[in-house]
Amino acid sequence: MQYSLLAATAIAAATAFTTVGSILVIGLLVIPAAIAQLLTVRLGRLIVLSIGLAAVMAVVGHAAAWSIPRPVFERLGFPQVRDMGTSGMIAVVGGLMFGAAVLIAPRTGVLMRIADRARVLTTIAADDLLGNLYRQEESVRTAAPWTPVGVSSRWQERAAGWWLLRRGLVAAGPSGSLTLTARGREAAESLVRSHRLWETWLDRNFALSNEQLHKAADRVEHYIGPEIRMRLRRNCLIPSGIRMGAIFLAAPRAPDPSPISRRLHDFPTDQR
Amino acid sequence: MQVDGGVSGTTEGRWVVVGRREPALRLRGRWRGLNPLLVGVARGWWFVFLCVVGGIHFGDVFPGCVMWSDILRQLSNWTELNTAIAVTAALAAMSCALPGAWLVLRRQSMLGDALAHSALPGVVAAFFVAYGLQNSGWVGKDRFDAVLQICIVIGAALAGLLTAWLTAAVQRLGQVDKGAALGVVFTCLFAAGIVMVRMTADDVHLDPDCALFGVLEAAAGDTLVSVPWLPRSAVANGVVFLVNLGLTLLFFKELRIAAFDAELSNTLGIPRA
Repeated sequence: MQYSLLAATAIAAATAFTTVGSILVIGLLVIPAAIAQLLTVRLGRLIVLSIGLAAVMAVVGHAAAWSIPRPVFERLGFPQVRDMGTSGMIAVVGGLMFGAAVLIAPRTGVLMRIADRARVLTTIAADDLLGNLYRQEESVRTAAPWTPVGVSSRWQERAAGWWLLRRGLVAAGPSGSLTLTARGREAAESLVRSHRLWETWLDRNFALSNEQLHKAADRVEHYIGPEIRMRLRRNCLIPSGIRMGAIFLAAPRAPDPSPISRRLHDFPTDQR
Repeated sequence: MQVDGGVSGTTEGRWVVVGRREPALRLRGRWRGLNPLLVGVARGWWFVFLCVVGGIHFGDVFPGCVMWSDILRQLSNWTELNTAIAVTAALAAMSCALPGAWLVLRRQSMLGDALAHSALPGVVAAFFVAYGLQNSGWVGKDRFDAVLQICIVIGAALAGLLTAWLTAAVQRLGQVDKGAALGVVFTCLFAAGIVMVRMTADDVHLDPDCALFGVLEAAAGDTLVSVPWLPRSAVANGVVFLVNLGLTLLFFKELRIAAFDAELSNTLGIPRA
């Protein structure tokens, strides 16, 4: 197996290099596979994609070598330049394609990472905004003082407002102020409930100051789903004096893996 | 933060309820991060259109600019020779990309680099042998190219095996790691190939420039006698591509195991690289 792959590579390289040159052969061996590896994690797709990308690279490379140099060098005052070596241009096109793939790759791409981060930040800012609107309504109802939670920058708040409006969780008043809709009130209620349950649970199990409790809950509230909320409530109903933290933490895990861990398992072992 | 006056920093009446408008084409799953890009294209396609269409005559209006017009004018001179070059290059690229993909998967792309270099002495030796056969009268002029191609294949395979064997020997005797051994071996073999080319430049149609940078344009003009639009090198590369494709399909299972789980492939009796 080792020697047959070796011999196949050597034969392909030798045949290609009498036509396109040995420098380009190295690029042709590595670049399409590297691009395909960025774009997919399935083996079959990787092979097909790398063959297709190699063909695209070659054709685009020749077209570029044929058409671009003459106009450019005429402007620069070198009318004697007719066209460029196709081999070199194919490698250049391969490099550009690799750069584009690094930008748009689905899992590891730069754009995708920025988009993911922006989405998470917007979601968190939207949660904070929702919680504050709810607390404000509550303080009007109960005449109790309240303080806004969450620290987010101005653009994050704008994005959060836009996000909530698009989802119909808040409505814009005539003067540009935001009010909760029925659906939004529901979401905000569960959010604030998560926050307070977590605070209560922490308070019962750990000796923390109020500020510490609040900060911790402010971070965790975004990740508490209905199931954990239920378990927290059950815990908080047990009379204090019994430390239930250990029991809560030792509760059996849900049978199906969470979306995050499933994504982790898609990767081959050495890339996790 | 001041919730009463709305989101802080907003002016009066800035937020308008537009309802929930979904873009017509929406990506799901792991490509969903590209959705903003798609929305941008959907809203701004007219701008791109104007740029492309307007750009065609942009160069006529502003003569200082190199724009699409020049490039398109140049592209309109596309001939059959260009097609032949593109096809040859594409076939060569495809026949390299196939084994290259396996090498990259096995994290041995350096080996591909080494093989591409150390094939040079094999190719030069193949030229020797082919010309020797022709001069001694064993092979007629009409069969020369086929024989040369076969010699190149055999020579390259032998050079590849020589590289592997020498690398293993250097690694064992010199107590160095694999990358270093590979570096020693393939540079030496490549240098030997260059020396061989230099020594025989007058007898053989092979020179260092063409070995390093390729002569794609000339190779595409060198067509078959019977089929005047088909370059010889395209045929050679196409055959190699098809053979590699067949080998890949035949040994797909073994290659996959060896690429992803070397220990399992060892226990199953598939030798690893």
